[in-house]
This record gives sequence, structure tokens and C-alpha cells, in this order.
Amino acid sequence: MSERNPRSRRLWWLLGAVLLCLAGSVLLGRYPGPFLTPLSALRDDRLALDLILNLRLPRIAAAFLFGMVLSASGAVFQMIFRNPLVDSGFLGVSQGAAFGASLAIVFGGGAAWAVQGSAAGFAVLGLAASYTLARRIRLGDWVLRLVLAGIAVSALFSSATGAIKYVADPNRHLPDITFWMLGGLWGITWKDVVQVLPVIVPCLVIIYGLRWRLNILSLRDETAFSLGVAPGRERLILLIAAVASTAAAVSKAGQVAWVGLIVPHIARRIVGSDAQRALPASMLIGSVFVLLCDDLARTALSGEIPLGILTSFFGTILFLVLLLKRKLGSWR
Amino acid sequence: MRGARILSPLIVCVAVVLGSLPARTNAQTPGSALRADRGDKRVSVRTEPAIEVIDAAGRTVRLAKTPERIVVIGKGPHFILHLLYMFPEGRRRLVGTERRGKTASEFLDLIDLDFKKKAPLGVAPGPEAIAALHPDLVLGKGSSSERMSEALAGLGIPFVYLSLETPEEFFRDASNLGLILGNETRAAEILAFYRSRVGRLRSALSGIAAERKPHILLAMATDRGGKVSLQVPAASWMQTIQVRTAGGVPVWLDAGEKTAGWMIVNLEQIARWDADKVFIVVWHSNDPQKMLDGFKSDPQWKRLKAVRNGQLYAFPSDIFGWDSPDPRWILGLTWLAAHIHPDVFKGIDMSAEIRAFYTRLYSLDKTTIDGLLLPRIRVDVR
Amino acid sequence: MTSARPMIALAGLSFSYGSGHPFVLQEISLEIAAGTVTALLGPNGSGKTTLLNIVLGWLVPSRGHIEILGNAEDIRSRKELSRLIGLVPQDEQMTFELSVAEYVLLGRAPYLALLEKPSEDDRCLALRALDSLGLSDVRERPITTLSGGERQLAVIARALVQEPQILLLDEPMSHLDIANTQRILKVLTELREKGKTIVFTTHDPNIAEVADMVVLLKKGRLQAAGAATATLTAENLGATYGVRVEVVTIDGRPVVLTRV
Repeated sequence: MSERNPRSRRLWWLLGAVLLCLAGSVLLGRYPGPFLTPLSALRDDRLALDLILNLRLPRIAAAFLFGMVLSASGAVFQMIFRNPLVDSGFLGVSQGAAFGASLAIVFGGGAAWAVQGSAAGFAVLGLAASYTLARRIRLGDWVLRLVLAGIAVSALFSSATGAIKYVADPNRHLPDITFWMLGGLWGITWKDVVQVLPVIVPCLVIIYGLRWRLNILSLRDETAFSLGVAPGRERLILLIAAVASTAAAVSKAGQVAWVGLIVPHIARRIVGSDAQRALPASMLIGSVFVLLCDDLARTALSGEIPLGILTSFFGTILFLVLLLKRKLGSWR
Repeated sequence: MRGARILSPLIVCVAVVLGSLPARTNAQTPGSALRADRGDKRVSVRTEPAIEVIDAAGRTVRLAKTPERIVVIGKGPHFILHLLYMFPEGRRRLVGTERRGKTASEFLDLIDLDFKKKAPLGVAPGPEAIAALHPDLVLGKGSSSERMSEALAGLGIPFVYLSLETPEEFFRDASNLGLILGNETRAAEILAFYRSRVGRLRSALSGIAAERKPHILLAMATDRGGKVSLQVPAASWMQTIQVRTAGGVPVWLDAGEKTAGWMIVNLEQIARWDADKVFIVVWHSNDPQKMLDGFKSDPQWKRLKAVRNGQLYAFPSDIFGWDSPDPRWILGLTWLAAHIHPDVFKGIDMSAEIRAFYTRLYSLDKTTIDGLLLPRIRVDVR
Repeated sequence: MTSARPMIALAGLSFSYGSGHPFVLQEISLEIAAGTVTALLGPNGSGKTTLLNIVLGWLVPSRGHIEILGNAEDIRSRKELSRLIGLVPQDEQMTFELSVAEYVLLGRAPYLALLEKPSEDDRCLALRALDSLGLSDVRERPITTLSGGERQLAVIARALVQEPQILLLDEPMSHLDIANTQRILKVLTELREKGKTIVFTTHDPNIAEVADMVVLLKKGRLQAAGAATATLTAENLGATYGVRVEVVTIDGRPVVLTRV
């Protein structure tokens, strides 16, 4: 039992790092000067204060929340599918969202609510389609079936999105679709944050509450059953929570890649594979990761760098580092 | 055995690499397909090409005679079409154009009742679909046309690139078109129209020192993709050139230089630039007044210098924006100059300018202009 | 067979995976007494694992029925079942590097509510189970780094922490060497002394020999069932496996030799 304490302690350190990053992010921006905002500006410049309260804070809150959601979902997917290299892209969730957004941009008038609603709706539809399809496949165990179905549904949505991009007006729609797919938080307001909270918070609570059970759900179906767990049902609950929150996040932020894939690995490296600790660690690390990337996106240049590019870039670097240092996470 | 194991993946890799290299054919002079001698051993009969132009991509294109059937393709065919329609021959000889979304049809439908019938090709037509129209010239813009030009060269159909991205390139493209259509007089008229106006602006602004030039922000506002975003144009684009030529200092140059496209800027950066005047380009499907009102009622926007001084404008528009490589750029430039330096350009009457544009360049009569075009043009939204 | 009520009773049990699928098990009738060790013996594909899964409750018989401690299986809730029956599967999937202690702790799930976390008492029980199987030294090591024998013991520990009355093991010794095989057999015998009912599958008759009852299965049918000496005969084994074997008796215990 004495061994557990250093790992639990690390969780507290992570929490401290998160709070520090949050505080620091509030002072980063482009106004009045690039990068650091002096505290005196908060006192003297009314516009600076307004910008921080109305622009920076909701954006920081969104980055923080979405980072949490994406990495928690990634951890859930990886454990449920017993595959350390899985994220929401495997279930038709991100591709469904991309399809929904493109559909709304090109054919639906492109209003904010239409794009976001469509993205979220099709993201959930992607999971539902994968799940329904998986039940009809008779090949291998549950996990294999779901992955196969998910790949098929993802491919279907991808090609449909490709078709939409093809007929899209290259001067109007196509840049919007492209920019949506690159991901970005540049338009986030408090209203957006308030809209997603009712979905994201309960889902995160569910996932956090079931984190110990997640370990059991990564065992064989029969073993989980023998331990009194209903493997199909509990996995479904977790999946729905993960996908619903991911859909909400993706609808606002566009596609932000690699977070769900790489952050759980880092978390497991730091606090061990037990989901009881690895899940909260994933959430904390993910929130910091996306927060820092978004800080960079809005501060580094006078123009906005799409968030998806930064998360992919840094995500792949971290991935390579982990790959080269030792075997990635742990699997046989 | 061991060697084969190393060798076979190596061979596969090499094969993949070689297979993915693009096939480089000699596409420098596709017009040469029309020339009789191609290195064969036949007795060659040299016919000198009647027309020779250097197009926007630097290619030398040779045509045996004036083309009778012209097809326009590319991502924004209406830029080329609007220029082509300034030439009566161009208008007559257009047989087909690519159609993507509701673009070119709106203006050209108004002035050419036959436009719809010009056998519109679907989106991104293949060389066979184009060849089915039996064109003897294809005009295109942009890199997506690159492979098309090579494919068409194989079919013996000449391809000419147009750029239209800057005033100089616009003039060169217009001259090329004049040469190709055999109407250099008309080309000269068009160039004279544009050059005189640009020259007038330049000479009026020549006396103004750099420090006195106002700082200008020009950004496009869209609410597509889910949120209202403001994007600044690339440094090399027409919009930036328009602002400079109109005697303004574009504030977004450091952002614009990073990309070759639109770049999103957030409000913090806009507040940091705090330009003297702000011009918002609004998509014609949005209501510019509503858009501006939205900005002006935002408490943060209210603090900006430009909004405080009432210097927030919507860029004018009619069916097509005046801020793109479309031939209307001259109207945009004139309007911009009048608003950036109102004291210098007191005498500019935009209605007269618009009328002159449509009368002299498109030969439209007063009824058409007053009845169909002017009602759709919004010039003073602030 | 004692006169007490049997722990597990199968009557006319048949199972297929669905209409149109062949019957994997046909007309199995069996009684397993409490506190005994039963070996399910048979060639690959004879239905051993399916039978085990039916006893577990994971699969539902197509025909016939099964009773555990006199009650039909389906009237029990999953939670009750999980406190009654523990499973040591053939290939536990361990994708992630839980420590041995963390893995064994998972066995306490039947006693925890959905959102409940293991308590200190649960942890003590887990450690005790590890101790009893001689795994205390490796308890903080990642479970994926254990040798085959140790890993199997860890899985048994996890099942023991469930405090089950019935322990089902699927081919528990198939990948183990002699030393580890003996270790496991020793553990199983000790558990029997404590009154646990043990059912395990194997394809090796010489391992089945240690059981109180040996059940021979061939293509889903019961070939023979009874004490080891009575069941492990050359005729029975020949009929089940389709090969000629020779059975010799050493110290009253049958030893099966193959004939090449």
C-alpha cells in the first residue's frame, strides 16, 4: 500500500499544474501586446478587462473542458476496446461529426446552430450505426465486431464528406469546411460554453464514477460477467457518455485530433494503468494539453492557428517520443 | 534466403517510390500539338501559328487561328467569364463553362439570355466532357487546371491560363485575350478604362506622406462554419493591393504574409491593431447592415477607434464582391480611395462610376443598369 | 456421491448457438457434489468450455436445465451468481499493465455497488489471497511481466477474492510446465479441503486423474462420468479420442500412456 501513495501524489501534482496553467492562460493574449498581459492593464484598460472576461475566459474554459472530454473519452475507448491505439475516430464519431458539419455548411445554410447541431447529431449517429452494425456481425468477439463496424461506418462517412466537399462551392463552402475540420476555438463565447455544459458535465461525472469498473470492462466478457458486471450494458453506458460528450465538444471546436489517442498513454505512464488513477490523470493532462495548444493558437501569431494542427503536431511528437523511449504504453 | 528477405521489401519500396513520381511530359508548349513537325521523319510542312501568347503560367501558347469555340473551367470560372464578356467575340464564342454552385449565372444571366444554354459542364469536368464540346480553346485559372491542360494538350486542345490576381496580371490577361480573340482594339479600350482610373488615383495620392496615410483593416466577415469569423486576406491578394493603391496602410500584413489564403484573426488582435478605419467585406448572402449593427452593438467593438469615430464600413457589393479578382476590382478600388481619403476624392460620384463601368465595359444600356443592377448594389452601409 | 443435495445438477442439457447451428452439447445429465474436484476431459471441440460457460451462467441452455444448490440458475441475480461462482478463464486478456495487486483487487467487484470503490478491507483480502498463493513478492509488478505460472496463479487469486463456493477453471494448466502444474494442482486440492467445489477442463488425462470425478466428453455427448479409476480406461479413452492408449495402474492410480 505504500507503493500507491507516490502515484496518488502525482495526481495531486497534476492538479496543481492544471491550476497553474489556467491562471497563466488568463494572462496570455494579443491585447494590449502580444503574449503576456500586464496586470496593470486589467486595472487601467477597460477594453482589456472586457476582452479577458468575454473572450479569453470562455475560450480557456472551453479548451479546458474539451481537453478533459477528449482524453477521458479516449481512455474509455482504449480500455473498452482493449486497444491502446483507439480513439473516437474508430467509431464513426469524428467522421460523422465532419459529415454533419459539411452537410449543414453546404446544404443547410451554415448557421451556427445548424452546423453544431448537425455535427453533434451525426457524431452520435455514427456510434449508433457502428453499434447496430456490430450486433449483426458474426465474427469474433464483441470488441472485434465493434471495431470492424466502426471502421466501416467511419469510411462511409468519410467518403460522404468527400463527396460533399467535391460539390461544395470552392470560394464559400470549401474553406469553411476545411477550417471547421482543422478545429478551432476562435469564436467561443460564454453562450457556447453554457450550451455544452449540460451534456459534458453529466457525462464526465458518469465516466469518472465508473472508472474502477473500467478495469473490469477491459477483461474478457466471461470474466467480467463472472464478477457480477453486465459487460454489454455497462460498456454501452460508458460509450454513450464518452461519445455524447465528444460530440458536444466536436460540434463547437471542430476536429481536434490526437488528444484522445495520446493523452491516456501519457497518463498511464505517469500514474500506472489502473483506470482509477489513469482516468483522472488523463482528464487533467488532456485539459492542460488542449489549453496550452489553444494558448499557442491564439497568441503565437497575429492570425489564428487552427487548433487541430497544433494538437496533431504536438501529439505526434509526444507519440514519437514515447515510441522511441520505450514500448508504447503496454500491450502484448 | 536471407538476402531475398531483405531484397523484396526493398524492391517494393523502390517500386512504390518510382510509381508515385508524376509522369512528366513535355507540357511546355501544348500548342505545338498543332504543329506539323514533331520530330517524325515525315516531310514537315511548317505553318507559322497565327497567334502566340505567353499566359499567366509563363507558358507560350500558339494558336493556328482565332478560336471559335471557347470553354472556361476552373474553380472560379466567373472571374474569367466576366472578363471574357467584355469582348463581344468572347461572349459569342463561349460554348461551355463549368458550373459550381450559384455563381456566374447571376450576373451573366442578366446580361445574356442565352447564358444558361451555353452547355454548362458539371462540376470539375473531365477532359472527355470538355472535348465533347469541340472547343478550340480552353481558358482556366488556378492550379487545379494544371493537369487538365496536360490532358487537353494530348487531345490537341490548347489551354491558356489567366491569373487576374493583381492589376498588372489583369492587364496582361486582358491583352492576351484581345490577342487571342483578334480584337486588340477592345483590349486597349479596357486597359485604358482601368489605367486611367488607377492613374488618377495614384497622382492624387502622390503628394501624401506615408505617415499621413490612415491605418486600414479590411476583413471578411462570414458566419458560415458555425460562427462569425473575421478573416484577413493574404498579403499578395487583390484586397491588400486595393487598400495600398487607395492610399491606406494595411495593418494585417504580418498576419497576411503567413498564408496564401484568408487568415482568421480574433478580437484581441483587432483591438491591438486598432485601425483608423475598418472595412468589412460581407458575403452577399448576409445582410451587411445587420452584420455591422451586430459589431457596433458589441461593447468591445464600441471601444475600437474606428467604431468610435464612425469609420466602420461595409465594403460595397453588387451581385459579386468588389474585393476579389473579379473585374469589378476597379470599382472597389475607387470606392475605397473615396472613403480612405474623402478630402482628396471629394468629387467621386460612385453612381456615375458604376454606370460608366457597366456601359463601357459591358455595353449595357441605362434601363438595364438602373433596373437590374443598381437596386442590388449597396454602397454606403455603415 | 454423497447423499447431500448436489452443488451443480445438469439435467438433459443441450446447447446450440442458435437455430440452424449444430448442437454443441447434447443431453448432458450430471451431478457435481459440493467440496469435490471435477475434471471435464475431452478432445478439442468437445464442448468443455461451453459446458463451463453454461455453469457460469454466461450461456443459457437451449434444452434441459441446470440447478445450482437446488435453485435454477436463472432465478438468481447476476450479483448473487458472482458471489457464488468464480471463473478462471483460459486466456485472460490483460492489455494494460495493472499491477498484480490491482488486478486481484478486481475480484472484489461482486461486493461493490456500481459506483463504489474498493475499501481497505477489500485490499486486505486481496493481499491475503496473494499471500496464500505465494505471490506477495510480485504484487506490485505489472501483471504482464509475470511468468505463465505466476500469471495463472494471479488469475486464481482474483477468482478467490470473490469468495466463491464454486470455482470454474478453463484449461488452467495447458501452458504450464511440470513445476507450475503441480503448484496449481496443490492449490486446487487445498481449496477442496476448504469445501470449495472445483470444476476444471483439461485435455490431458493424467491431469484429470487427480479429480474426484472425471467426465469424458466427445462431440458434446457424455461418454462416461465417474471416479478416475473407473472412467480412465483404455476403452473409454480410445472411444473418446479415437487413439489407442494404454492405462497402467501405479499405486492404485491410473496412468495413461500413449501408444505410437
